[in-house]
Amino acid sequence: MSRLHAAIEALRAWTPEVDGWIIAIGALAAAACAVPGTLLVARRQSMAADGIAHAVLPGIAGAFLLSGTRDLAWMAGGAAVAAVAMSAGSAFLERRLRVERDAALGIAYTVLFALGLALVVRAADSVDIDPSCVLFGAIEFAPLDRVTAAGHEIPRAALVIAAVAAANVAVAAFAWRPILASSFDRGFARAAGARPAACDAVVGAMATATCVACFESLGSVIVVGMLVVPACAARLACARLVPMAALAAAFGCVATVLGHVAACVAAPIAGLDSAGVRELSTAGCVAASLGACFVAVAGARALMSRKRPVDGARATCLPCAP
Amino acid sequence: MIAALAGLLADPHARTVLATTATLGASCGLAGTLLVLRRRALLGDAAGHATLPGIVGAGALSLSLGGTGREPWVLVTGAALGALAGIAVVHAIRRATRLPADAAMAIALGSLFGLGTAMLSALQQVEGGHGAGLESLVTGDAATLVRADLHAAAAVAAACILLATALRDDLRALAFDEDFSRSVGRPAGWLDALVSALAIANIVAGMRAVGLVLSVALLVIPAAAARPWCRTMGGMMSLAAVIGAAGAVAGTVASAAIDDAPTGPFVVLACGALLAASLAIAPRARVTAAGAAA
Repeated sequence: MSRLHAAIEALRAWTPEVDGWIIAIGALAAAACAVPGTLLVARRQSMAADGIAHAVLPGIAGAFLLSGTRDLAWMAGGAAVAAVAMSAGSAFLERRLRVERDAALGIAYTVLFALGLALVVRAADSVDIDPSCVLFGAIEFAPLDRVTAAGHEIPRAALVIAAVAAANVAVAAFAWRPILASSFDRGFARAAGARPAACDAVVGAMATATCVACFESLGSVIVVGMLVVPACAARLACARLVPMAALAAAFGCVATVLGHVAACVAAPIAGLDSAGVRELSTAGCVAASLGACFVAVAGARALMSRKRPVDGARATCLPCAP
Repeated sequence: MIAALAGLLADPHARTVLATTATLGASCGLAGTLLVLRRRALLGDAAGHATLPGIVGAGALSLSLGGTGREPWVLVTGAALGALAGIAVVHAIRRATRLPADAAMAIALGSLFGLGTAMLSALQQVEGGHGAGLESLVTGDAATLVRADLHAAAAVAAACILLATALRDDLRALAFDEDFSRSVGRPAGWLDALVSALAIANIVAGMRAVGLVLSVALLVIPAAAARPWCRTMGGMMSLAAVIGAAGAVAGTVASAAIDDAPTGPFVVLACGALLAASLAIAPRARVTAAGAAA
């Protein structure tokens, strides 16, 4: 009982100023990741999310070393250059040099990530960029870095991620038909006058912008989870892209709340607070909760399709219709 | 470069480090060839990331049982179990749903690495837990390598050579023509499990040197660099082993010669440079022919 009390005390200590913003930032990240994540999963490019999330590191570290500031324009520019280098490098290896697709991706992004790690270690003496923070994220500190917008003090991360989320929705709405067609039938898309390669670039750009925006608070590996896992869970639950993206955003929000609660109560519940453990990494707990959400959706779907074999059969046999 | 190498060879500790990374590079080149030809390169990535929760879990268990939480055999066992769990999760997702393989790998990688991150953040706060030492496994720290690491790397390399030689016909048939391999009754499931096990062994043996996030690079890059020059799988494995060892030595020497240069990333960058050189020198016709054959 005392453990339960300690856990409840940990939750009662939440303040809207800190914990409220942590959840808000996570939910905004879920919304921002939902659009490119759903599109990447539908286009069978899930591991490209992994590649982009790793590849932005040298861009950010390089921009940091060149400019000496954490100015957003420099960061975004460096990350964009690195992401383009990753995509171009992996496409070159695959198309011109006939390296297998997954090996090409694995080569392009590990080399860039190695370059990024080398730059980060080099920069660590002079600037406040931390290799572990880059990998694991530090959403706990995101609410502390505030800017004033429209008369309110808002965390910078929330503002940036919200802007990227809005931009993702706007771009997807603007180019919806070509993106949709090229996601499922590239030959048809080309015949209908859309350009699949350009659509790839647009989706890649959305994913890159999202990675850059979320990277500082969530960490590079957990952004991959936020992009792919909710979209896959949503893919299991519905077969049309727009509801899929909405559902992915909802799953991401649920996982954010669950993850932050878990980060706060796990130590008291497990009795680790006597050993000096206070809070777990929220970003890590959010990623683990995403996995738990996926398992729950997959389990529920398996149960439902067993009960209703006809519906279940239809749901599994139909391709992902627009 | 030569002077730096000579300087390193004079120092016994540096000799151990150099021998370990070279052995690892060779062994990863061998196992990576199998992984690349079987088109499972990114499975190595998922397994590499999934070692984190295993390592942290094993460290925490050892700590709670009165150990130091950093015994090498405990961490290695945990890493191997974590990598196995990662591959098992990928297979379970593929079996239970109709999601494509890359989605299954991204799910396993993101969720398990996140779980590992959360567990690591708890372990780092435990008093006397030395959780910070585990962090070096993520990006690698070759300066901490000792003779036991060299022995482990040599054992893994020997196992790779033995198994790849003994089962070369089966592995070749599986890599180039899976239907034929199945039709003559070869156990494709077991052979795939063997390829995965060799990859896991290399990732675990290499995690202290190059780190678990970059371990997949050492598997994939030498194999890709070797391919345009070879017409047989055995030749490709040998050349990939040589390229892997050369890249590992060059990266280790470069990182020793430059201040603030972590070994793992430099080994990967050196292998990347060798790959670029190999693909640039190789006649274009052979490059594309190699791609068409595989």
